[in-house]
Amino acid sequence: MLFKLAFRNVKRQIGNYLIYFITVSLTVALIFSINNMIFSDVIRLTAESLGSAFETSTRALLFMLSGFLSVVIAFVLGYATSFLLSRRKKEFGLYLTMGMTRGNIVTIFAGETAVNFLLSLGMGIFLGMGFFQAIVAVFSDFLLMDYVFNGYSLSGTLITVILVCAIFLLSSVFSMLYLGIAKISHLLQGEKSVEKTVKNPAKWFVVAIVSLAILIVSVTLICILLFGENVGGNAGLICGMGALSALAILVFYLSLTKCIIPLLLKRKQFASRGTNTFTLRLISGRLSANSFMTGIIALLLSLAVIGTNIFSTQVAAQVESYRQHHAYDCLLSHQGYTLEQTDIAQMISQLEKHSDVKEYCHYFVYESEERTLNPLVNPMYADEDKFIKESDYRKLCAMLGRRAMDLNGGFLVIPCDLYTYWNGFPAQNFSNATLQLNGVTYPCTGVVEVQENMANVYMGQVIAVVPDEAISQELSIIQTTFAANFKLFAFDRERVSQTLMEFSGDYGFSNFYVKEDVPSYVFSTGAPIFLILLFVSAVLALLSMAVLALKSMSMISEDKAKYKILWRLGADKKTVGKTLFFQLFFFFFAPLAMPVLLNVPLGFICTGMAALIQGKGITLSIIVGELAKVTGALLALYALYFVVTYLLALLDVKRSVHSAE
Amino acid sequence: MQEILQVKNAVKQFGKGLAGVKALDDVSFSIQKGEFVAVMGASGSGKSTLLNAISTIEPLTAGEIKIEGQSFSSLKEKELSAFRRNKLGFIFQEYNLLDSLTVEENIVLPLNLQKVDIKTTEESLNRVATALGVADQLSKFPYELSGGQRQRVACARAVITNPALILADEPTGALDSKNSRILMEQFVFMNQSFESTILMVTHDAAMASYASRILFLRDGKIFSELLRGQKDKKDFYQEILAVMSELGGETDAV
Repeated sequence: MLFKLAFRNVKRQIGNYLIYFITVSLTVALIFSINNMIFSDVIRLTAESLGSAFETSTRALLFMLSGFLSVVIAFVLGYATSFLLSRRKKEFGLYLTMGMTRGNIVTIFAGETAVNFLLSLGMGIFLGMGFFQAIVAVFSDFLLMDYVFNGYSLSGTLITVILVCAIFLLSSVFSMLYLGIAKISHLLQGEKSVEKTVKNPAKWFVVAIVSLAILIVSVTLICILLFGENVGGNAGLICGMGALSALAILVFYLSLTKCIIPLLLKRKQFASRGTNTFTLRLISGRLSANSFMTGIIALLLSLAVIGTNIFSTQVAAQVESYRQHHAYDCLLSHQGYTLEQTDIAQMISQLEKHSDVKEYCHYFVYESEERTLNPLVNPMYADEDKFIKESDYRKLCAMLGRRAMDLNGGFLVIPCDLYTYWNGFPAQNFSNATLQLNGVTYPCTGVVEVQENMANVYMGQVIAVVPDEAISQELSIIQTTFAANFKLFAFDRERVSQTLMEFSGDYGFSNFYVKEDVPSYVFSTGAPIFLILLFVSAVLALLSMAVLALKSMSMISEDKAKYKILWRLGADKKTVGKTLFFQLFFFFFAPLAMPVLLNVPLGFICTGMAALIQGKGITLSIIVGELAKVTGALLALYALYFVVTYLLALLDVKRSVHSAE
Repeated sequence: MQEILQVKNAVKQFGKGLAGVKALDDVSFSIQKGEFVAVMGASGSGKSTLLNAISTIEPLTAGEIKIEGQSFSSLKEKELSAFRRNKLGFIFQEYNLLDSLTVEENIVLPLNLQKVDIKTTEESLNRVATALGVADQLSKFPYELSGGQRQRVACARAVITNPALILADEPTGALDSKNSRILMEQFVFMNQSFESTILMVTHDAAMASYASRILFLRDGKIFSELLRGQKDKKDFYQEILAVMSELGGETDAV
């Protein structure tokens, strides 16, 4: 009988159970994939190439991550179970009045949730298998390893099942205990909550402002400490400031949710417009009752935004740095050996076998015995002056798609080293510089703004662009360089490398590069940490949204009777829909405000980090672009979740309104 | 006298064919401005359907209802909402106050929906809150009030827009006899002071005796009509009991 009742209940409450099912399945899938990752081959194989220290640290990191996620998952699972209970309170109260024992209703609820949980666990593991392979594929790709199907770990699966079951049992026990002792009258009241006036909203407002100030100060201090001279020594302080920031976010939300609506309600002009009071009161009740949850979600989303942004900006910075140092599709340069035109013709003919050459430049770097230019960069540099012809410079500019500067009867200076250039190149030192070449005196007419390693000459030095006629027999050729771009970027890199190697010569110093699609060093050592950051961020964002969706559905279930009254009092369905939209919008997006605002300090932090690691050539615009992409993606995902939740809630409310018709 | 409500040959059928049930069967009556009319009848007699049809919630199968001479059968959903907002006031058995709004916010909500300016809203609030004795409860939430006070707040909300017609659905259903009596006195007060036209559905003869006219429904038809005239409440009550006895024999049947 009880089983039949439980079965029918599940069938009848399919909507609620579906939300529970999706949330729990998703949660199990995430924890399953991370637990399998801990024992995966990809970690072992990476360890073989990067050293056992990597294996130990990555596994330890993954274990910590699994522990952290367990806490988050316990929160979500506990929340999902209490969501189900809250939707059924009235029904259980009714069963008790009909003479059922508390044991009976505990059995019904336990039976229903257990069936649901087991189904969700099964689906979660199934989904997790797919998630895991996807993570392995991404991980392998980032580490430039070939993807191979990774077997599932028994230990990882067992840990998942035991962990999730334990969390489920724990959260169920609390629900059972509640059902065992709750007063019938309280159960019969269902989800009805009693509205309470927030006392002293102004005081809460002050607390919100103070916590915001603390947040700003702590984030600023983090920025200062991160880019100070003794980052390592200040690690403890930085962590402390990070914890203080997290606490400030939590307190900010706790206090803001208690003051913002009461303060808005005091503005009569605003509140008395249409359904504003109605909306504000609904939001106020929900926010103040869920202020802690809102704070936690804001914190989780902030961590998600921070993690993802650090990942994406550092990758973008590395890619940008790579692009700057690899301006052409391929390049070969020789010092001490001259590539003649015949060699170039042969090389192009070889390269054409692999891919069509779009354009190329073959140029010489000449050297005089004078030491005029390099000491102007740094008095310590006493290397001889080096030159390239204006015609070669123009060809290089054309290949890079840049406008060539005019020489205006003089010569131009190209800083050869990006690091020196970005860290303060003394351009002003060259304003009075002159060169004596081929019997003519040439004044310096400008410094070429460097965006990439254009001429590929010597680190820390400059090269002068001079008119072709200034190059005489007196100057010696010290370097030959061949740079080419292909028509298609998808050329055979291995064969191109082989060809360049063949023409590298047998003596002297030569180097070459072939621009890669994904730069090999970009994701090497930092990849696991960045990937883990990305994974954690995705998990936090998804779980936050799942909790918000659950809470919203539960909230609307309570509020639909109010919407029915509103409709009866003369609000048309469009107004009802609009009011519902604003209620959900505020509830949904309030926790997202702080993570989005955090992008401002994050922009500076990420730019600073990129400058520290990649040099100052990484501009703020690249970082801002990445932040915008990440925030945009989060907003899009959030909006998707919001729209689905809103439509389901609207359907629920419309059904309630229709029932009055 | 201005005719506020006109119900003409109203028919409401639920279901089709043999399984169909006529909840209203050719009902016709009218209410003049300032009248306080009660509708009585046994369960299933059609009183709630009649109230829902008048309140624009339930469309008729046939016939017509006009409020202040305006028929609303052809109005679209949005126009119907505006019609309900501007012409009707509602008082329900279960109060239907919004528990998340204060008493003041509950009362002025219909004016907010009509986008009335703050000054007028405050004047109207003071007028109805003082008249109905809830002026000192304005900052409280409904759960802080007694049943009687809640129903008075519901009354204040119903009259604040000066609606053409106030519809009351078993307004004393959730109240004890003392609070029921107080509420009915408020109805009479509203009827006399604000010239409110009231149509009340009730099954309680004692409450109906406060009305100036009573319509008795049976099987979806108007079975009888009683006018109070100059009679005192006690005599009118006896007359009601007599009709009820005719209607079903037992007082409980109503």
